[in-house]
Amino acid sequence: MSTQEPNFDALRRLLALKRHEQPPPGFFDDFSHRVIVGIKTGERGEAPGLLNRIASEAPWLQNIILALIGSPRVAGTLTAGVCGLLVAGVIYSNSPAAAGPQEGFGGFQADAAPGLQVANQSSGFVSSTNGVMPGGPVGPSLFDEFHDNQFQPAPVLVKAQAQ
Amino acid sequence: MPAAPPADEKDLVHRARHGHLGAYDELVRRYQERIYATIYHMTSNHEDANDLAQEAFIKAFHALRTFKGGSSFYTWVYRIAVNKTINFLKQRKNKAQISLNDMDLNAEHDPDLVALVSDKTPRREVALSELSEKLNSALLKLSEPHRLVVTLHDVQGMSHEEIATIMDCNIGTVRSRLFYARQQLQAYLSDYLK
Repeated sequence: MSTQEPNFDALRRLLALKRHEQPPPGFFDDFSHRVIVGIKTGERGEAPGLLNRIASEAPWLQNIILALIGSPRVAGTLTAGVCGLLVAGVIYSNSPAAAGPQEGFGGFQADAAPGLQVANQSSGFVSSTNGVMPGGPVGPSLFDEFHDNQFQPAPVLVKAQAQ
Repeated sequence: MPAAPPADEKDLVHRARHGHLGAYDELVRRYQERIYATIYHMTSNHEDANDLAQEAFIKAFHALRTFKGGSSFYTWVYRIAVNKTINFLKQRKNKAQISLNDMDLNAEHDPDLVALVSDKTPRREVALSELSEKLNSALLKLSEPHRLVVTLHDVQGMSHEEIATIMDCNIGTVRSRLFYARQQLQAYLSDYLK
């Protein structure tokens, strides 16, 4: 190797010129001060950057992120895969097989509370957890049908029990 | 009255490890220029070098408890800075920024430069900034490990042994990387080296 070393003399002299590349004058005057301020800032508990936190707490995650950033092809493939899964999920949720049990539940709801269904359709109210109803037109009450009906007392039959 | 002798590095490290920021400030002052220069030659950008050098020193302070003292503090902090820089460069892969006209005025009077530009270079009209630009462009074409070896050896003047310690590899690897990197640079800069 030593026989080839002299061939690099000109290159080495050229590279040595890079030593002349310097930061702006006075740059190092307060450099250490800035480092100390940075240390104190960290000790005060100010949150470090997201990437720094990832690097310190989960290096494997940082490696994955770096791999994705470094190769757009892998990142694109992964994104396409995630999108495909999402689309497949949406299609499956709209299919009759997936909707079957929901219909059954909806039917049960309609049977169980017809008054509620009618009231919602007629009034157009949006349900709210607020006990005080907002101002505006008041629709029919859920209990109107109870007021409207003419209740008749049912005959009570009392059987005399033999003593 | 003679100036006080510089404090022992081990003593400074010991005090810094116990939270003495004054001692750590002294350590930073000792190595800031070399650490900064290495990062700058790797990134070719002063702002990035500034940020990375600061982050490296801050990280080193927080990691002082893990410093066993098997190597010098200088080598240890260098390794932190180099790893940080390589990670940064992997993220920045396609965002190469070359700083031009960063040479100080003394460079114009450097005999090596004068010889290169006026005597041996076929393109005598080449300007200092152009040469600097070509050199940085060529360096940025190298892979990070090859650029690092060239920077540490040919720019910073480190020995093969020191570089092997910093890069955590054997000396043979350092030599082969250096040889390959020089070959590549020679090919990229052939117009300026004849």
